[in-house]
Amino acid sequence: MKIHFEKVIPIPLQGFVSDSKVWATDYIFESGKHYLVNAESGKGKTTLLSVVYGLRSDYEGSIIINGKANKANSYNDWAALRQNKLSMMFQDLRLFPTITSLENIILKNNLTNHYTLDDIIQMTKQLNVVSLMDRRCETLSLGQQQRIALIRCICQPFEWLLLDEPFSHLDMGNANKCMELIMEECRKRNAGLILTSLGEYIQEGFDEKIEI
Amino acid sequence: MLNKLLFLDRGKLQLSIVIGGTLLGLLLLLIPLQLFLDFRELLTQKTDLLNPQYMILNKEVTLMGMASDKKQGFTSKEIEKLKKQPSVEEIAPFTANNFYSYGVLGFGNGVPEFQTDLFLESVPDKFLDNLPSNWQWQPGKDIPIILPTDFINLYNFSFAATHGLPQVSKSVVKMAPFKIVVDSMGKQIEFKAHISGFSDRINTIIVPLQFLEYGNKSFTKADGIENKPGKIILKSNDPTNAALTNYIAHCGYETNQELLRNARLAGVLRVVASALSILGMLIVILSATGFFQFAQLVLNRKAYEVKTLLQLGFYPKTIWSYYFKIFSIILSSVLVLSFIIIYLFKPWFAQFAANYGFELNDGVSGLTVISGIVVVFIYLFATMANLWREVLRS
Repeated sequence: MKIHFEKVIPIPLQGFVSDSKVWATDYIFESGKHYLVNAESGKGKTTLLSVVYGLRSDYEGSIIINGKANKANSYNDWAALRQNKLSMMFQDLRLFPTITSLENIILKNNLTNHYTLDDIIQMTKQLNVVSLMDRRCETLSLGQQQRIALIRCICQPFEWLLLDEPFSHLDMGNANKCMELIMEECRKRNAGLILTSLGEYIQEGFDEKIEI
Repeated sequence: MLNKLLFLDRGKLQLSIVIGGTLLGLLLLLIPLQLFLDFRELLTQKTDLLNPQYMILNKEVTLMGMASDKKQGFTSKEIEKLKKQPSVEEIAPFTANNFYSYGVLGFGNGVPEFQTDLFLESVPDKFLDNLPSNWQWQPGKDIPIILPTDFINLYNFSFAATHGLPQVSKSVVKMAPFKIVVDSMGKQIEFKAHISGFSDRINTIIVPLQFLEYGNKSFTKADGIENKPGKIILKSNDPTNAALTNYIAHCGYETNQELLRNARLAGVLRVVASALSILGMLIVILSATGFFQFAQLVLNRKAYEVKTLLQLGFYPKTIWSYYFKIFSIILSSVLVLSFIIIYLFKPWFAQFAANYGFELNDGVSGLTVISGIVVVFIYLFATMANLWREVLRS
């Protein structure tokens, strides 16, 4: 499943981009490949993921996924895509603060029943958050929440995993563990990955690095 | 899990207020509606208690009429016209005795006899309430008589008391030997008679029509003046009908004042019930607005949750269905609660109304139940149509 950018230029970025690899030109994200998007703030990293995931439509040009333009998708098309084809981890995480970590994860997993409870517990062990499962998300630190959000977005089938600065609140050790999990999950599904970063420590394991 | 996310984790007070308001609105619509239906039924049912189905009409005695030699009465033309008025079912003139007669009531054994001049009248049997079993007459038989209940009341409570006479019960009066004496060309002819019943409806002395027909044929005074009927009895399926009462007033006929009062009362009740229903409808609109706003508030408060669930891949329909379930449960509970209250209220109100002489039944009308369901359905439809828009907007 390719993601094809055809002369896409987000309206807020008009006049601010030049020499971008993605904006205002033709670009194809090849299926199964892993992309690292490096850029400083304000260059449109989050916008890139948002337009792919259908959160924003304030752009010119078209994004074609699986032969269909994003803007032509209905509400139900988007729900189906987000359940089975695309998974995104938001920069601001968007966990539900008043329910527990486990409930946050299960809520997502229940849509497709992709993993069993044991699988989920295994992943939480891998990322050192198993002890936080019964705590309400609003009581967790940002670094803890980031790992919960990562596990949540992995609990579904996908062909593309979109991660928006997933390590921004993590130390090196935890970031590496997360990266391991991400790579393993993508491999299992033969899925593509687009990961945005401010240019921090994790730079290895990608097929392509894009500066936008 | 959606429950924890999408419905009020706080704001139970608001929920209670909304339920209370909706319930109140519904009750204020349904109770007046139920009472309106009850009283309408009361006004058209065939009991004698309140129902002014029978009217007795007579012409007003005027000064001009008194001066004239002729007795006032209804002409056959007037009767025909009256028959054609709306809601009139049957009509019959009173037949009166056209001969001289007096009655003698005596218990014998030295008790003083009553003797009084008598007027006798008759109407066709179907106009009589409490028709006695032996209501037949042929020559050689006793004449059965129906007296107005008022007569015996007048005797017992007014006359007997002031004259030191004993009070008598209805059954004693029925046993009393009674004679009707008729004057025929100076000859006195005695007929044995007995009181066989009492009537609330007709305020005169009633004998079987056969006797009056016989008497009027056999003993008519020689002056040969034909009596026009002075009174007529009228059966109407809706005596409160405005066209009928207006026609009666227009012709200058008099009728039982109490019946007119009942008709007025019925009119007043109708106006009051209609006014309450209109008020109820306004309150329903108000409470519907309240419910609508409450649903909107719930969604606004959960805007983050709804939006995020959609971003996680939930179908809009899943979220909308959840709210549909919640609001259906709330509204049907309110509906059931309002029915329970009405079912409890109704017998209590029927009891209350019985103290004032209104016989209402204890039940709740189907129309009230249906109205409640329809109103609640409209609430739900308006709310959910709005929520669908709001969910998609997220």
